[in-house]
This record gives sequence, structure tokens and C-alpha cells, in this order.
Amino acid sequence: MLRWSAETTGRPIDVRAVAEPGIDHRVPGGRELVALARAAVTTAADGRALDRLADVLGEAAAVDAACVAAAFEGFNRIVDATGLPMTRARRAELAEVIEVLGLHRFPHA
Amino acid sequence: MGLEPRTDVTEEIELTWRHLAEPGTWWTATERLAIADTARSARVGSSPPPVALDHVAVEAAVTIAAHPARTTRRWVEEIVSALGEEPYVELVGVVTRVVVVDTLARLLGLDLRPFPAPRPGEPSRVIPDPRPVQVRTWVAMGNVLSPPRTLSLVPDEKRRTNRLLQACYMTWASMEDPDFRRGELHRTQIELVAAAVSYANECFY
Repeated sequence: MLRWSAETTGRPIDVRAVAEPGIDHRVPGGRELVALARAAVTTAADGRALDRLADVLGEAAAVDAACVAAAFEGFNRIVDATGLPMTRARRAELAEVIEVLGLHRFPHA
Repeated sequence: MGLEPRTDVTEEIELTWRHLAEPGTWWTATERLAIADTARSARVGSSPPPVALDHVAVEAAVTIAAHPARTTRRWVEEIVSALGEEPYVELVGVVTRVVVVDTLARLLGLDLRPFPAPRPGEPSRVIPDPRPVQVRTWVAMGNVLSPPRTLSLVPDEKRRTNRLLQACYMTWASMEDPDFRRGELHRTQIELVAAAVSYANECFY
């Protein structure tokens, strides 16, 4: 979805930035968006992640990003708890991303 | 910071909280709230609350809430053999919604919502007709394999969970739009957040 949206709408992105904080996301607020996403997952929450994102993209966008992060905390659970598989076609389509991000080491790969 | 999400999200959270305190399809309201409380405790790393809940249900709620990537087909089969497939699916929905609501509150600097009092009544035990088939997944969800279908065995839980997820992310129809905007956020920014959360959770899907 990330690469599809970026390529279709002419917004270049480096997908490695999802995994490596030092890489330039080439997306407005990218670094702060990823920091907020990580704060959603870790129980030792980064209480400043929302503030830093709001400084860059504005409060409304920061709140919307928090909603998306919360939603994916949910999506990840229903997918992992029910064994929803990635189709062969989608896996082939994402082969490069899987390789670049090392997703093959994930438990459900 | 203490910011509030937009109205459609807060309305869905209100509905979710009300629904958690109602008898479900397979669990009573007291049991649903016990599942919710167990999931919350597991997320914040505190001891499970003293609730009258089967130890298998506690294990399922804790694992899904705090360690979702640890699930395996065999683990789910063992849980399902003890709880039943439909009760397990309802439990997944309850845990999912508590995780969504609590995560959002934490990110926004809001207090965790107290759970409401359980409402009396018995579970409806409604089985969808026709019952979804099981194709390659660990629980039956039909032959269309996508996240919105995962809870198909318990239609009420599926509908309400999907409503909350769509309010926080986007409607299923909007997913076809690569240029979608959620307020000031462009689809690429939205998907960057989605990808980063999934990566941090080691969620392969």
C-alpha cells in the first residue's frame, strides 16, 4: 500500500525508512510519523512523539496519524490471531520490499 | 498534549465501549469486560486482573494483546479446541478493539477509559448461515481472504470491529484511492504509519 500510493501519486519514498531511522523518508514529516508509529507499539511510550509530529504537520494531522497507528495496532492483531495469509501473488509483487526490509525473518513469513 | 480525535472516531469509541459491556454472541458482558481488562493489563505490563475467566481465555487475551507475532497455527488450534472457534473469534475482536482504543488514548496523552458496568443478559449464540468455510486460515472466515473478513464467524463482532478500524484508518471503499486524504494526511503518509506499526509488530501480512 505504501509503495503503491507513493508511486501512483508521484511521491517518491524510500521504503527502507520504515526500518532504519537514519534514512531520509522523502515524505513530509516522515521521521516523526515513524517515531509516532513506534511509540504506538512500545509500552514505554515516547510521550513527545505526538508533540514533535504536531510541530511539523500540525495538531490535526498528528491526531489523525495517531488514529491510523492505533488502527494498525488492531489490524496486526486480527491478522496474526486468525492466520490471514499473504496471497502468493501479493508476496511475489512485494518480493523486493520483503527482501529490502528483511521481512522473511518475521514469525509469520 | 491531551488532544481529542475527530467526532466520528470518538463516536465509534463510545459505541465500542457500550458494546463491550453488553452480552456478546458467545460471551457474557462480564466475561467480555474481563477479556478487555486482561488485554489492557497485558499491554501495560501489569498483573492480570482478578477475574473469573477461564485460564485459556486469559492466555489468549494476553498473547494477542501483548505478543501478537507469537501466535501460531498450533497455538490457535489448541486455544480453539478449549474455547470453541466462535468464542475465540469474538475474543479476538474484543482484544483488538481495546488495543485500538487504549493505544489511541496513550498516544494522545489521554487517560485510559474506565470500563463500564456489565449489562445483564445471555450471549445470543448466533451462528452465521451459511457458516463461513475455512480456506488456508487458522479460523474460518470464508474464501475471500482480507482483514475485514477475519471475524466473519461472529458477524456482530466483525461489524463493530470493522466500524472502529474504518473510523481510525479509512473506509474500505477509500482503500482503492492512492490519493486519499485523511484531513491533512496524504495516503502515502498514512501508509508510512501503517507500515511502521506493522514492522514494529513484526506483522508479515
